[in-house]
Amino acid sequence: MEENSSLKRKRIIVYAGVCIIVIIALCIAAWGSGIGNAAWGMTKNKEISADEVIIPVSSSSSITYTSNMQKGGVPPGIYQGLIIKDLNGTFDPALAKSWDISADAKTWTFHLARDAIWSDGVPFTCADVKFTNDYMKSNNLTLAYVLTDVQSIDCPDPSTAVVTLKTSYSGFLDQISRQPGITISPKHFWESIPDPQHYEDKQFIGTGPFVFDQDTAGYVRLLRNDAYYGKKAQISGVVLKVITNPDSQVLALKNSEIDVVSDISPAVAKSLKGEKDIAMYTIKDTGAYEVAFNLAQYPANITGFRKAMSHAVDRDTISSLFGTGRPTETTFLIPSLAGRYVNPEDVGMYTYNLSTAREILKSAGFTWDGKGLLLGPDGNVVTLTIPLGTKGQASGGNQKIVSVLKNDWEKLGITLSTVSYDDQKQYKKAINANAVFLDSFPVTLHDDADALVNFAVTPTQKTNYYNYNNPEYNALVSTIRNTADQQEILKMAYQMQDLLARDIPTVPVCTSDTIVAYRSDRFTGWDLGPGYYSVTDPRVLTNLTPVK
Amino acid sequence: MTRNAFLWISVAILALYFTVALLAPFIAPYGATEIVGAPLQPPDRGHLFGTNDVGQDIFSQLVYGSRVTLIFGFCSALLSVSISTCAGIVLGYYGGNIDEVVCRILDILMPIPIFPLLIVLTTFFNPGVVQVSILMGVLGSIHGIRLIRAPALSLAETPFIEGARSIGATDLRIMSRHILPNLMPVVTAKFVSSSQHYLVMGVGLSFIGLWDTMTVDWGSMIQNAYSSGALSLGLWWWILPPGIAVVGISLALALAGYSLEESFNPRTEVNRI
Amino acid sequence: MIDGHYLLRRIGYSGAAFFVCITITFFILHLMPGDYITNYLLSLSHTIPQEAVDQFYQQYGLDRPLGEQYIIYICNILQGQWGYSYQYGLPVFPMIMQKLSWSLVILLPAVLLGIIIGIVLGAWSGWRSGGKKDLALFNIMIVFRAIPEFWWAIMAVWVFAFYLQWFPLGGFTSISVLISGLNPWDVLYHAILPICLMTSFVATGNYYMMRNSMIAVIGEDYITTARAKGLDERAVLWRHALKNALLPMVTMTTFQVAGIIMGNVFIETVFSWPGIGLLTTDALRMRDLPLLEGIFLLDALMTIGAMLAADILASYLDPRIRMGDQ
Repeated sequence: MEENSSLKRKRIIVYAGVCIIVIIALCIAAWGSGIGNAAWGMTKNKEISADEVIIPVSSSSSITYTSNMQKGGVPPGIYQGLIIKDLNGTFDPALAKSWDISADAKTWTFHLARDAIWSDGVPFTCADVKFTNDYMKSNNLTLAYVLTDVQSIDCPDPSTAVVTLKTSYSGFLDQISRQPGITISPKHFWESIPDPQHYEDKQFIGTGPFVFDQDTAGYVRLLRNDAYYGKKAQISGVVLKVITNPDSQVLALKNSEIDVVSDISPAVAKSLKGEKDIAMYTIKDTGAYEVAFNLAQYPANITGFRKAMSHAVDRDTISSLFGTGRPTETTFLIPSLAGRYVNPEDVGMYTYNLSTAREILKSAGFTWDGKGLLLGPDGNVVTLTIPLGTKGQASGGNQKIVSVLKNDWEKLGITLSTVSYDDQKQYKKAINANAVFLDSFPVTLHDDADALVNFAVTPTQKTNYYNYNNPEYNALVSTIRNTADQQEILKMAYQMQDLLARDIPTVPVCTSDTIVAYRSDRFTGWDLGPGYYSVTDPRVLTNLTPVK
Repeated sequence: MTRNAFLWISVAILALYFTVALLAPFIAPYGATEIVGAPLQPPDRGHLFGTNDVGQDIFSQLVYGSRVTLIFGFCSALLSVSISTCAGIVLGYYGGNIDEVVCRILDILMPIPIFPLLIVLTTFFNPGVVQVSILMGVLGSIHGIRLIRAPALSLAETPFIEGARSIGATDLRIMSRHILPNLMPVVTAKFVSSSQHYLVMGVGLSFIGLWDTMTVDWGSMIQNAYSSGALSLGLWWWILPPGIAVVGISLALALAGYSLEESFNPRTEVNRI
Repeated sequence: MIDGHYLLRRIGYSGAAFFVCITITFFILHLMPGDYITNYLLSLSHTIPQEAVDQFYQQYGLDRPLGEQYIIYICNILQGQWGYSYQYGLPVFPMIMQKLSWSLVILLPAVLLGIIIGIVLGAWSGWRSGGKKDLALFNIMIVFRAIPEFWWAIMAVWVFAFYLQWFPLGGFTSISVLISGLNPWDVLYHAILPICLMTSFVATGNYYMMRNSMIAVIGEDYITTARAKGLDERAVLWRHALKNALLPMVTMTTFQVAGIIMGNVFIETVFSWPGIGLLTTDALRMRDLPLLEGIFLLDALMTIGAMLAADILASYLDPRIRMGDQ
């Protein structure tokens, strides 16, 4: 008995010892990486400067990238491209003050800002532009695909960059400025780094209105670049704070922990109305939705079916469910952004009318059985499956569209079901295997004549999601690429819309707006009008002024 | 109150849930995905718990959601317990080399993290209730085999089984007629506690959005309410009903499980999975 | 006391388990439908340029046969190279450790407190089993345990952070971190709600096991004898019952400590606490294979290590019991 108990005592002591060792090891591991790297301050909490704006972001991965060379998303306002995409197919100057285009749209000459300097004091020159192109390509960086069309960049003098393209391309400015775009990187910094893909950039040397300060424990802080060559910011810095749940972001705004929340739902906006010191504005048409057809699959390969269905999409009801935005009456998904490219003759041709849809189905050879189910020309019951991608906010919108379609299409005798995919590759595969799919476009994509190329088959785009392949349309697209004359481009864009209205590869449904709420007791100047869809857009940030 | 009273109360609650799930089309005033009114209506006579952000009736969703959640919990528990019972009895009865080899394999499989593995495996199938519950059942059975094997092993060596063998009963007959009935208490208790565990896990998986977001079940309802502003807007009738429904059935199953364990065998410990 | 052969066999056996583990995870992860580059390109724009996809496949060796990739992977692992995350371009191991360190801020105190509280309450409850207080405590614990973690978390945030505003809504620390560095009190203030929830969750599980174990022990002959001999109740409890009841807990708690490396995705989701749990689900969504492989590898290492430690410990302490060697 005595021996037994001493054995047990020993056992417990050893066990406790092992536990303590494990805990100490874990603590050392934790301190050695991560937490230990951050400075620990026992001092009393000091507040950050009152004129730094605090903006929530939904995930930490969206703000901590290693290398601006490899990845698209980096803290805003640090890096700049040559130009910034603006409304209605126009461009704001950034590092390029002005530009010329040769008649064949093959040679582009950019006149660079002479007084731009990198945040470490080195002047910006054309060598950096040339270096960016050469370096990205020689290191096989993923984003280099944006510059595929570029043959070479030459520097006749330090403030002029001449870009020669492989083939004529009138949409080149759009290519380098819309998402993901290309930002210019400092030659003096990167040229000594042989492996940019695995290099952790901690300095973020850029030319923009803000400079990187630090990245600590769920916060990223940027400070005003006082040596910025353009319009200097009036706020002294920007703090990005990770708040994963959108609901918590709203609560934090109410508690005055943050200064702005973007993309709130109409219901939340309604509840914030009348709240003291909170103001709101709406950015119109920041997203667009379509019901698209896959022309390679039965029954969407029958033009009559697509035509009938184009009258069976109740865009008014869908739009009212969204609570923001407006129904789309054109072949362009975001008519307000396409601006003058919209062909007035093709507006409002897909009116919602189920009996019209029924008539067209009948004349296309469809019939109904005793139970009212739709039978195809082959005599079989028509059933449709809509694949849904579950990426981001689009999924909520798609759900609303599907529930309305389900109600209406059942009245036409079509049974509708859905399948969700969380992976893009599987989703794209499913799109190719089904007749109908839903798609949504963020504002950054679909906004001028060049966007109509989505529906074409060209040497660089062997297929499109709609499997739409109209030789007449394709010919127009290849001509538009080589045309620099705006009048010509407009004329061709009109013709393309006529073709789309006739062939109906897609039925635009509606747009959605972004509602932004901000603390009006902290900063003003958020609302820059349509097109400035992001509250972290450097142009918005430089426009802010502290209230006090 | 006695254990028995607890047991009967929980059985009554379970019966209620099953009735609701079976009779869903008769109880729910609307379809689960049907749009029946303006979005975010507060509760009134037409909509017992109001409507959600799409304008669907929350009460109907709650009723239909019970089907998915119950199917998930009970199917995976049934599968898992069946596999581990069969395997456990066979291993315990035959013993020897097969037992040795299978136990070694189990030892090797044990350290593989089940939860993340499950999430990875769901991506192979189109995320759906049936596939995930099958996967969960199969993966979960690994941990149950040993639990059944141990008592089966000791049973196989009792004189009672020896006797059955000596009068010429076939192995299959011995395993199904003699060993299985003796193990039923352990198996039942394991089944009840597993279904509680799987049910909660399924709702959790659905809550973090790792399967089909279009399926209406309690987890996705909570997720939907939680991420669309139910908290900041104070819409308690949107987020509380699915949560309370989950808590209710989980509690009923837990009580039933513990009561069963105690009434069958007051001193055996049945590992929670 | 410890047999060299036995030790060697145990270690060899753990090595085999580790090998099987990483083989299974490698193939499952690589056969998983979908890939990183498609998800990444589509997050940038609406097109999937084929040349970018091909280049990515070639860079990461994904265009080679799976068997070849597997051999390369094993060779790299043996050399201690865990690879680079697709998503972040950073070496996998330091990345995991960084996220893990934040998860540990919650999990380490929660698991330790949970084990201690669970064992203490369980021992008390088991010793008094059948009494009114025991039953009351037991029922409370069942109710606690039956409510899903994420539901506790949502309700806690709603009540304590939103309505009462006693605690922050989420995150690691207040914004003052940018000026004055990390303040331990501030981190604790942010962590206290999730720690309490996790603690109660771990405690209920351990309570249940400890109570069962205690009930089993006090039914044993030597306890009955000791009590019959008229020994002081307290002495019996401390000298005999408690020690023996704690033994089965050794293995369980070892696993709990090893298991904390997976983090708790529910708590992390609700409390905006970007630790290892969120990293895992995020990596899975983006199909960041090297990162996932790293997380699984570390987990397998920890679990197998814990098993080995528990086994060797048990055989060292009590040569009569050899786990897996009956």
